[in-house]
Amino acid sequence: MKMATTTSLGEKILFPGCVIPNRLPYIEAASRKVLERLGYKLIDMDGASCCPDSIGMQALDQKTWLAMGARNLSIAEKAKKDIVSLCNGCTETLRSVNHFLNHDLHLYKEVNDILKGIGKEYRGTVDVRHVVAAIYQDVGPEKLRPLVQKPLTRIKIATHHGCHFNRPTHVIDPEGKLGPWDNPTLMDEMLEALGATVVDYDEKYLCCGYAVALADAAPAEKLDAQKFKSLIAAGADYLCVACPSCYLQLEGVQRTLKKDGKLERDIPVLYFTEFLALALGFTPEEIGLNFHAVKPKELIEQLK
Amino acid sequence: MTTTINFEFRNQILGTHNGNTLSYCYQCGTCSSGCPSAQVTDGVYNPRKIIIESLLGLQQKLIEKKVPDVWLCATCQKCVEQCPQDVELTEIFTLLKNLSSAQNLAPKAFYAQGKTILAEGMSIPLQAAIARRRTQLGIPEVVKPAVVEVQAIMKATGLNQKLAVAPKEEAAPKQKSAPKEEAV
Repeated sequence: MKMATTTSLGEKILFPGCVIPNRLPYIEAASRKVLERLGYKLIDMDGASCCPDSIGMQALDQKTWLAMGARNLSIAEKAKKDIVSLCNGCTETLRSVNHFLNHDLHLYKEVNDILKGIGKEYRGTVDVRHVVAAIYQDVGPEKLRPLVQKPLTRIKIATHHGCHFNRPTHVIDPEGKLGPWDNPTLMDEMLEALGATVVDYDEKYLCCGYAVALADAAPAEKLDAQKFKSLIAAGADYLCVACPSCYLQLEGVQRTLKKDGKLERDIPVLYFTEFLALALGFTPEEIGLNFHAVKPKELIEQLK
Repeated sequence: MTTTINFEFRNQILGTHNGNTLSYCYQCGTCSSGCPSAQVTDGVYNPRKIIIESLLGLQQKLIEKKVPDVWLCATCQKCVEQCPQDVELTEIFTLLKNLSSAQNLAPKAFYAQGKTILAEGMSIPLQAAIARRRTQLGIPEVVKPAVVEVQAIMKATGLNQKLAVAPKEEAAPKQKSAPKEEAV
């Protein structure tokens, strides 16, 4: 099959985080394949640690969160390469560290004093983008269209960018490149370019509840029941996410919700690059689609 | 019931880089009216109340008794986006969580994650089954984190000491809602 040519999008450091490589490797596989097909050259970050978690570690001790984040950034700075991250949380952490340290000289010095002890220095010279933002900005819906080999026709998808995709906007998206704080549509626009039907629903911007679930599962289940009810009423068959925490929460919660009679049917949850990989012609086997807990059986059938 | 007021508590928040926005609050309640957590907890979580209690120095009520419980914040940042006074609510709640953590009052899942990161450099260690799956999927080995450097940072910030006396966990945090198949 003739393939539309892609231009080189340069070398980027891939920051896969903790959850995706160590728990959801199929999301990493889809992401790597898609990014390379689009023309990026991916480099691993030597010695990268947990970003660390913008929810967990920041709540435990903000100073440690900043210093560990700055250490990761310092590795990319030394390599003089910008970062593409696969996780809302990692993107938030690394962008926040850049924001805080570049706006607060006291913190900047304090963190660099800590890093000096391990022979590292933070300077604030690299940019960090979420993979969805990177693909949208570097390629975009219009240039994706001719690359589609298997259009996602008749596939009805609800999107969930996730809270930390662009919030807090003054930290994550000060230039307003990701759209309004309560209505980012990057995935919607790109999925439509891939041929899919993107379904709008009332609770589109309702939080997945992952962070609450760390303290108490019940409120998170209520949020998710509300979310699924809304997207099913709107006619969606799939949910597209941009974050592994949202993924784990929204996929994992379905068993409980079904048991409690709060969810009428399975809604397979896919990460954005999985949909993109399928549209670009990668097979479900190549990207390990059958490893999902809520299996997208019909989708796999449809794409045969 | 006696109410203990701790003026230092308020100053502690006001003295930090984003905590100073605490004093901008005029209690309009926009934060609570839009808050998803407040909505599903019948007010057990209530951001407006957390702010006024911080301003009044009601440390004991907020930190020790968790009324309202700051740990139910979803960190969704909706309140931050909507606040007409630009109060950095999530940042202030982070400071409160840090104070709560230091007194061993955080939910156990948070200490569990902290301990895993201290030991492994990652919040989720690589399992043999996942390593095999990676090979099957044709992706490279996971980058090895520089654990020694992570530990040095935690030593410098004192977090390792706090984790050493933290409550024991029942299960690792991220295991909770993980798909079953993954545990192979």
